[in-house]
Amino acid sequence: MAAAEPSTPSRKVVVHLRATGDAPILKQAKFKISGTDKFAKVIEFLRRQLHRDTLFVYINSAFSPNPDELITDLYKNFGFDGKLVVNYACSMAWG
Amino acid sequence: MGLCSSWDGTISYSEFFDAARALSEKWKLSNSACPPWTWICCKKSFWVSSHEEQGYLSLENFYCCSISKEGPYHDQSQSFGEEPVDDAALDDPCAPEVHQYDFHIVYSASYRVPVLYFRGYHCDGQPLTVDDIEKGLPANALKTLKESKWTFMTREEHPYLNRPWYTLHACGTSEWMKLMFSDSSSTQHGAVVEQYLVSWLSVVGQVVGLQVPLEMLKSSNLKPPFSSD
Amino acid sequence: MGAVGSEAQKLVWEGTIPLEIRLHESEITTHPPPPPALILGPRLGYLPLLAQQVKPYFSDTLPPGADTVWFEYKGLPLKWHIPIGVLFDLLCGEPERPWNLTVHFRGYPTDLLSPCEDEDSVKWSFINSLKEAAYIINGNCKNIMNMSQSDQLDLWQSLVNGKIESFLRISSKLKLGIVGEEGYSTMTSCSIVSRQTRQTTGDVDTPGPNRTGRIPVRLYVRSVGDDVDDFGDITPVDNWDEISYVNRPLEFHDEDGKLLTLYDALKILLPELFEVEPSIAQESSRMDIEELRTTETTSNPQDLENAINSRCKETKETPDECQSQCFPYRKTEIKLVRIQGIEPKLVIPFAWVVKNLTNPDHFLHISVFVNASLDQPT
Repeated sequence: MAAAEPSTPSRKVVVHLRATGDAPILKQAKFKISGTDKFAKVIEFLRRQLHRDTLFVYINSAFSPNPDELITDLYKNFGFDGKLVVNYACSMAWG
Repeated sequence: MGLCSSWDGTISYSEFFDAARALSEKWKLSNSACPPWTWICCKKSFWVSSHEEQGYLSLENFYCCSISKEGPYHDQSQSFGEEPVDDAALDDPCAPEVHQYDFHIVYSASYRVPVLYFRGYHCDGQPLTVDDIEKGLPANALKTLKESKWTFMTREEHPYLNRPWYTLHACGTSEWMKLMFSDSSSTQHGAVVEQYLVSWLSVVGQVVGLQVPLEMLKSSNLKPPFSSD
Repeated sequence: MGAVGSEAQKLVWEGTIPLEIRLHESEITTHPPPPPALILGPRLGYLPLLAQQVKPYFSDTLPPGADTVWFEYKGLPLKWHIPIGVLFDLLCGEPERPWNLTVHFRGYPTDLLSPCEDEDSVKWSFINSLKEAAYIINGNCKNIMNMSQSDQLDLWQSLVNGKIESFLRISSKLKLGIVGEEGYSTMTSCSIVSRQTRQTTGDVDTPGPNRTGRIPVRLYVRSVGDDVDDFGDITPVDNWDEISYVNRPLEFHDEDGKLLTLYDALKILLPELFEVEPSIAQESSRMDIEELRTTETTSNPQDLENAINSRCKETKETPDECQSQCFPYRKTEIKLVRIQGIEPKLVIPFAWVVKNLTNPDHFLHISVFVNASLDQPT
């Protein structure tokens, strides 16, 4: 896991977490995260908050970001009004 | 949420064919260092004279290197990324950690969704064992595999090649595909089809370490619907 | 009601194939070689499940090593996930009794066959097939995924032990009634006809069976070359590439709500083979269901077949005329259609076929022999 303090100054991005499907809505649905963090950090946060290992996390132009993507890259491509909207659902069925 | 209130996340075979072409073209544009996705046309049945074109998408000779994995998955998953095929790689073709993978995307008429089939082999051509494959998986996929041995990834008959390939089970696919497009602002089903396989691959690729470049995911047809609140 | 099978279903469940199983010569370390094992293979069963029964015949002669059981027939490694009865129908042009198989306990052909570690592999192959069928029928596999552990185990055990009653008792909970658990009339009203009527009467909320209008079918098409009259003479299959496997559900969008016949179903599934339309299709489609019920009072497979063929006679055509009129194609010609060991005439209503001849995985496995010649090397 990356250090809590980003090594380089970087613009913070507001991540807006949006429940879909039957996922519970989080009390804290918005938080700031450094642009140099990886998307994995968002997934980890959701897992901790929801106490679930399997989550389906996606961005609303219909794709699921790789955990390795940098927040700043995601924001550059898919951000809007200073925030990045991340959807989450509890089911991630393979079966 | 125009289009999707009634759409069930599945596509027809001819839509799959269109989606395959779209994926292949986008992949070529933004991922030129990687082998291309090519359409393999199968005259599947010798007795079929003039039927719709049967086939599947194929990306072969994809190099992955697996290094030992410790710690949480996300610090490691990039180790499973692509290795460009260049002279340096050819100089040392038998570095033990380099594996080669073939990926096929086959349409399932039962599930009406794409299904990933893949196999891996060592650079000497020896097929990878289950253990080798597992070692190469990103840690989160490995975890799923341990938890659901029979319903996540198994070796099954490749529908066109009559040989056992690894495959990811498809019974949940339509559900998460539907979910991903559920708040797309696009009302054009054609746009969804265009984007379908790219979106699908962004999920499935994470299981096998095949990363979809962000440029491919930016679609002019599917604008973020979110208005400021 | 769901737990009571029809006579025909019971016959199918009781069906066995006498097997004469020899150990492959490369694995015989004693002299004289061990005699073959003579056992009965359940039609609905799977080859690896016979391992326990077969092993004692050969355990004294096997070379050292771990067991990895697989079977072959005339040099062709047999795919274990295909039910025994289907393998027999497909690979023995002329039924061979006993069926001469070779067993191997060593040298598993991993490049040709899916791995089969133990009974669990077979069980999950079955469950996954059932899931696929459920998805085809209902549009999701929730009922299978949510099955309790004990139901799952009981379902599997009842298949392994050939217990139709307990199998039907559990499987009726899965709501996979294409045909409807209530039987034949339900099939008629729910899945074929009332797709139309329900809409026109506005009664759209009725949760009838088969919401998708799709029926799980696995087709195995085998080419037997031109001018074959005697199926005992055809060249054995020595490579699976010679079999064309079509895993495509039957989708019907029947506009006028007529009853589908087996002929109609095959025409939908394999349109390539039906480029000339014979008139029999129209005639044979209008069969009286009530009449057909009588076929269920048969007591053995031969009777079953006779009963089906007699259905054919009662229509305007005789069976031979049916045959000749059904198959006038340009290049490829269907020589034989075999389901559960019988060769039903194509005028039989498809609903009856589905209701009675479907395998426990809820797929209808159909072997089709065609006389096309292999024009491309594989």
